[in-house]
Amino acid sequence: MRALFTAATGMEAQQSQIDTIANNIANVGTTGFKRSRAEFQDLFYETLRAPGATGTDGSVLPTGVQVGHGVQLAAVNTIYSAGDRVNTGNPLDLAVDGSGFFQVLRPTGETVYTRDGTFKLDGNGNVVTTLGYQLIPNLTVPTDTVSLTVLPDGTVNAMQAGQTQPTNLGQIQLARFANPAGLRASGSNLLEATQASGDPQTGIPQQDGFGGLASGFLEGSNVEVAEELVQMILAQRAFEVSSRVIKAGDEMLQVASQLSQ
Amino acid sequence: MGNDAYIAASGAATQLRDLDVVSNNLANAGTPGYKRSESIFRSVYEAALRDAEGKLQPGAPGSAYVQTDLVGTDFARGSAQHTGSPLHAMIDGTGFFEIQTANGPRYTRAGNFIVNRDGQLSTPSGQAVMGDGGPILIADGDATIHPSGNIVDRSGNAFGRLKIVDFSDLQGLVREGQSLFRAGDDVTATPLVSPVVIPGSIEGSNVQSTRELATLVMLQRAFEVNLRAMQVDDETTQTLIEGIR
Repeated sequence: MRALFTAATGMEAQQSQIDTIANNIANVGTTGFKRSRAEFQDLFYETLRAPGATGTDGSVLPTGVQVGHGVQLAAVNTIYSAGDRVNTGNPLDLAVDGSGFFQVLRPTGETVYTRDGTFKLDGNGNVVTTLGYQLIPNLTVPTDTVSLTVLPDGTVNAMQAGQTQPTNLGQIQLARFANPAGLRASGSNLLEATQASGDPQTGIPQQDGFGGLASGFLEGSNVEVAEELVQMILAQRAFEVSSRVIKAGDEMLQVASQLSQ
Repeated sequence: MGNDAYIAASGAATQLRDLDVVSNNLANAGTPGYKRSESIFRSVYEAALRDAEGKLQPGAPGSAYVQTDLVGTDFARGSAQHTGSPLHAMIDGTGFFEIQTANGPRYTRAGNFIVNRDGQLSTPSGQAVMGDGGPILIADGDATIHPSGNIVDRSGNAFGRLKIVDFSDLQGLVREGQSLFRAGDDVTATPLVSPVVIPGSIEGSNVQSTRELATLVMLQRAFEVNLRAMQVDDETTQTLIEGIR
């Protein structure tokens, strides 16, 4: 009666699917959030008779008897498609139009990556994330700045009081990875490089395939609520049919046990 | 107990086996590229009754044991599911993606590809997808699959092409798990000259839950009837014994 365990793998898989969908839907309004997709594969097969074996009447049977053991979660893959642009008008709200991640410095000294371009100024005029982590390379905005502009190539200009020409404060750099799906999400919209993602490759926006920066815009999440809801309905029904198999298996065992009474 | 009880038991045993098959189908109702299995009982049942030419034998016994003869694969196409991922592809028509594994080439209809740690286009478990000239290296994580199977970069230049092959005899493919098939001994893979893929979509499982549930209900009832037959046979024997006393 391996059917009971096979059906249980089906129910577990649908639970993982619901967990993934729940996190996607919960983050529908999170800036720079990239939706996840649970990837399923069939589990291994037990070969009860190999193809090409000889049948009861001496003929060579073209196919064998292979019985599968259910389903497994192969990966939870992050889909890096672009999210919608949200207009904020704040010059330090930045959206990357194409590939590339902002690099920020954790207080512990390590570099982490994000698509969330909600930047602010701290007490010293440094450009920081919502959590107060500094942008890499660090930019310091003078206190007498009247207006700030960020150009699509990442150049940050400040118009200071009493000046007629803007001052160049520096240029924002982006990082990208051979396999962005291999980045580890560490919460708070931050991603860490891993062995799977490969080493970061840094560059200037609008060059070498890096996207340009859109100042005054934020990148919304790329979650499509309607699609997630459809997936949720499918997952729920799939869960139910697997539980139905367990019920059928149980009833069959019950009939068998009554036989010997 | 007579012979009848054993015949009924052989029937019940095949229904238990079929439950395993139906259970695996339903567990994989959401697995991309999964092809449903189908148990076939009849050929062995008939083989016992027929001679080599397929004619019914004159002295054939009036009853035969039932056994699961084959678990065939239904290679019907699954429905397309739009995912929007530029690295996902569904084969439009026949054919299989070729996957490189440690044990040699394997084949799949699941086009839910990602990029592995070596920067190669791969299956979700990390095995490289084969192109015409070996694994396909996605250098900067910014590539798109074209309907012709070409992999194009940001500026539209093709730098690789998915290797899609077909087989003379699909039933000679052996399941290996991880949504992969292995070509059996007498089966050869022929590369398709001009395959067509649907980018941004994957082929869903071809399991239809309602059909599997109908099979489930039928096999459950058949199992109950077989066990009832065993019980009747047992009761008849018991009555006989009591009659002798």
